[in-house]
Amino acid sequence: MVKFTYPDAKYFRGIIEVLAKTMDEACFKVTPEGLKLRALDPAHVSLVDLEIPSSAFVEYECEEEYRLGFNTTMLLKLLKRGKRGDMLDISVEEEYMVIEIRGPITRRYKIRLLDVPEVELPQMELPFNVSAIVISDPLKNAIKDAEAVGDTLELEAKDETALVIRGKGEAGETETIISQDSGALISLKVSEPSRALYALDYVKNVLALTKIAESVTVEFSTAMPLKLEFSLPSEGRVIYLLAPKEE
Amino acid sequence: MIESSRNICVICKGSRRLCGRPVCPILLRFRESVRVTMEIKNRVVYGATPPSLVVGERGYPRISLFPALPTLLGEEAKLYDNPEEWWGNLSLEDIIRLRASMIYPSIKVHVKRDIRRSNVIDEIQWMIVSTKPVESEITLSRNPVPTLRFDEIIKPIGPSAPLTKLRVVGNPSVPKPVERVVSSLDIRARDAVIELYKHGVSIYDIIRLFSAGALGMHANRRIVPTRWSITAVDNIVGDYLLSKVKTFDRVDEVLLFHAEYLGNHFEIILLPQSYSFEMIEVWLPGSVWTGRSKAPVIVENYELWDGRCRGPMDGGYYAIRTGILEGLMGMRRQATVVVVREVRPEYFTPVGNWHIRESIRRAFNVKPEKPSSFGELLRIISRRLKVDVGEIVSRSRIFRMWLCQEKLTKYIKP
Repeated sequence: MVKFTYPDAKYFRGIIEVLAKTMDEACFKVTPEGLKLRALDPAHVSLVDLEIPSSAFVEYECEEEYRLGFNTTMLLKLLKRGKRGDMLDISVEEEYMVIEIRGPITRRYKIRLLDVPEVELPQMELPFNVSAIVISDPLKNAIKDAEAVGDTLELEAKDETALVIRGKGEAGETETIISQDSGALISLKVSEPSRALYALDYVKNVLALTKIAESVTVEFSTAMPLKLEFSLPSEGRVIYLLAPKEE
Repeated sequence: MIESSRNICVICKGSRRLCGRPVCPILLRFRESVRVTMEIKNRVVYGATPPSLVVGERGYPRISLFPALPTLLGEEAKLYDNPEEWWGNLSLEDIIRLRASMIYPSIKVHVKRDIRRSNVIDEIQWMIVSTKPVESEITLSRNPVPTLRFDEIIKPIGPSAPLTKLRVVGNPSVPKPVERVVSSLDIRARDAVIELYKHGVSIYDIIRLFSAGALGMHANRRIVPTRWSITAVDNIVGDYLLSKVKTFDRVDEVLLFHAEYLGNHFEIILLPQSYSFEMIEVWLPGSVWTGRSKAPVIVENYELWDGRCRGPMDGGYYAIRTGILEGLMGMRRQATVVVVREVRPEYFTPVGNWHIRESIRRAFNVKPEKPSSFGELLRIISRRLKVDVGEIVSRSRIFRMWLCQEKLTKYIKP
């Protein structure tokens, strides 16, 4: 028996939106401790790592480990029907995942469960020389600005005063400085000055999460992957890991 | 192009070749149209339609339908609308000649309201479900005036006049799968297209059925302008193929295919990565649409693994994509594909996007070259292309990604 109730359908939709932009099919691993998902995109450039502990749910029923494979676009389509404040129930009925969105009215959907092969992904030990916590909204705007001019996002931190976000492309360049003075930077630790490039096509996949999480942990090093960690409103987190671009 | 250079045309009058083209397209189409319009007696056209149907988009939802036919009978008529047969055999002039020598009776209808009310539409639908030429008799309100219109997506349209009566004389030959989806009233248009494609019905037949409003759920059936139908069918077929292609293994090495027809040269590069696709179109000075530009005009559009095109919707892009996905399907492999389409001055007038789709299809029939490095790949294509290859590399998002983007797997320690 698997059944869980998430307090806000709208937030859950944000999470699925990131999945739908990253992969066709995904698989929730439901254990007594909580909900987990960890998968690479088809090109092996990015990785989504989701963890929501059972305590983040209003109701949570699960005695043994379950795997719920699903089509991400399909699930997203259904969740788009939900409004802010609607409750979301997910359960399993034979070979279907049953989704119930409870608001002023209750809507019930069934989608066929898929057999998504489990890919074992070892943890990566990545040395991050820069670690910053920033308010989501300025980060979102910096990404959108960058997108307007080019296809590459450049992150740079020379010292612990500011994180610089640049958009680079043929059309031009943009620059956003996130510093303590502006109030957008909560903390910044730099063990070595770093600068790295990332493909905007991938970075923008996480934009949906900037609407859910108030702050984001940004970690990177020169010519190394980027790690974005979003804390979910009740409990739990989504990590997005992205391989760098060479100069 | 013809429009923009109107003043040189006035000075030239078809004899001085001021536009630099080998033949004057205006004279060519005019001569044919005059010949065919001379053959019409008493406003009645008797012939076999290949079958051929063009649906205009101007004035949507009140649009014009052109069920076209040459003034001859029998199997021969098929050649007038048969891109699969045209490819490699017909020159641009041949195609213009064929298209200009058909009569295009016109009828104005509402795409939806008239579909179950008009006898003429019934008759047209009856005529176009055939995959072989159908003998038909058409009465016009006046004798047609010789003209010919050109378009990038649809095939050229010749002399036209309003239709007053249409009578299908011959027996349409309807393949089983076509009969089944046209007569079932509860299958969605998307599923109907895939069903037909799976049964080997030609994509050009599917497009015609789609635009005639012969597919889809009964209540939703409507007439669809030809341009929109072409891209819609390319898109549906492409997405269907992509869902299969995504499950295949990647190609093992860099592969290179190429094809050329009607002054359009294609280089198709397959990179050993998961599916994504990019089109780079190079319009050399002097080709259609470039106006008086002295430098090549380059257009770029792409999609990643999810099969959603990131740029504006474009009929040529989708035609290439269908050809590519068919090629990958045949190889049972997936790949990151970059297609360079170089349009040369020999392509002096657009004749539709069928030749793009066909060129890509044919390219896959030849054994690919296997360049050993990216440098060698560029050397090979630079020998065949007229544009500077450096320019292509700097404009290509996928090439840049291929050269610069790291994989996360690199950071996983065994």
